[in-house]
Amino acid sequence: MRRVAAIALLLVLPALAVTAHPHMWIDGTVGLIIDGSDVTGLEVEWLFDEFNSADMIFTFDTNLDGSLSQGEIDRIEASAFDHLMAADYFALMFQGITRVEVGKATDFSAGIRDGRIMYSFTLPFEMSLGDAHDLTIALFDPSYWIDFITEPSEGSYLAGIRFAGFQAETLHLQTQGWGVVSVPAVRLNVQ
Amino acid sequence: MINARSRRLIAIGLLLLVCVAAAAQNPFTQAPAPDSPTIYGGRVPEFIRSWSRSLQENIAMLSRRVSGGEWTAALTAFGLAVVFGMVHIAGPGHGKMFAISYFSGRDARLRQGIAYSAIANAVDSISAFALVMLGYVVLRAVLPQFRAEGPRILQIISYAIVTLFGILHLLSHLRTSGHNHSHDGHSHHDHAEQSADERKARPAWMLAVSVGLVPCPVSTILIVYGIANGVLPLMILMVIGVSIGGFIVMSVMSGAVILGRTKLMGALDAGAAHTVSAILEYTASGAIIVVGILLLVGSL
Repeated sequence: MRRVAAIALLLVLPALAVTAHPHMWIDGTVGLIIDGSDVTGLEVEWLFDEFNSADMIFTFDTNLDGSLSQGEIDRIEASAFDHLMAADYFALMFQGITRVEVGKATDFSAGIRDGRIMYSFTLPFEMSLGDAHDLTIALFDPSYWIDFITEPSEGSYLAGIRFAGFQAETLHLQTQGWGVVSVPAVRLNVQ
Repeated sequence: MINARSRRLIAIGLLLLVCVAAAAQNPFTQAPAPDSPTIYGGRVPEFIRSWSRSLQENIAMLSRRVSGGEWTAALTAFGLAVVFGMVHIAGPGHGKMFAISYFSGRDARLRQGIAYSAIANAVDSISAFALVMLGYVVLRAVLPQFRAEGPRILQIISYAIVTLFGILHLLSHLRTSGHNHSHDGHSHHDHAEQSADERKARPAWMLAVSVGLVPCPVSTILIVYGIANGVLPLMILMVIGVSIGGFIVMSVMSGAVILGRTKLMGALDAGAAHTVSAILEYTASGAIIVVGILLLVGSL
């Protein structure tokens, strides 16, 4: 028994050392953009943790005035945002079990709020509000470097005769090498 | 009983296995699979996630209180930093793989595991401080174009040294193997003792220093936060707290591996112990080399 335990210990422990784990924490909010009876996009806001924000402010607030000028925002967009398109901006959206594809982000902006870096942007996609029932949205970094939480910016929407409301959901998602993590998400109920 | 040629074949085979296993995790050569390797029984305990988030939020909140003149909050923040360090380093990364590989592949005493953990975490903190001071403060003012390159240059140096360490480690195993089997009149016990004695001469601190050279990003952002918000002494205290937490967890892990290996070898007869030891030695060296190379390539 001791022998088995010792071997198991030797074999299991190295498996703990493969990849990275959260070093950044982002509070995310999402909201629907509704045009008539259609959903035309997702408004996303990220609020970075204070420590990583300090790092980013130190890097991008080059004039150290405590706010971000348009030039500094443009630099953030070019060097710390645009390339995230390859990761779908960490936005996971599912209609049932079908992944909803999003386009290139628009309306990017950034700022400093209470010492924390804030990103806001829009992810375009089109769907009738009726089809958006059960639309599930989560911000998620599969490498698990970033730990996101996802909350709705607004609790409910009224479009024509339809009423839509978000409710909290927990997804269990597979990371790259970390195993399965519980991820806060939101799900849309349309009536 | 295995001869020198067989040991070399085992070494090559194990190296290939480790290479294949490592390559399978590379997202540039293979899309992340739904059944990618999992740990902790496939489910990351929720407390690691929630505690990490909560602890960093509370440390930030307490730091603001210290900035406001409430110096007693620093003690609470320090305690939270130690807990954060323990939770943070309990996950993958932070050079534990190298420690585990090293100590599973050689005879060692508990105090060596503790010393390794202390050195790795101390160097991590010092390196974080040096990196921030050099990269963020000096280079920002003097050579701003190199400021972003600082962490990457340090990574390249560190991983190159780690890889070199692994290669030298493996070569010395192979040389020892050939040397032992040139004296057929000696017993296995003599060989094992001779081999162990030779390996005791190889210091773990070199590996610990190499690994610690790449600071944990958490340590660097704490120091940057300290500079940006005028609370550098407090943040240095926080980095020390995080390092103490990391030291505790890394010591426990290294100790578990050292004890596990000692128990395992004690439970086996001489022949089996020799074979298992050879397998562990080559696997350990191979793992250090392959992971070192992968990290090095990734940082280029």
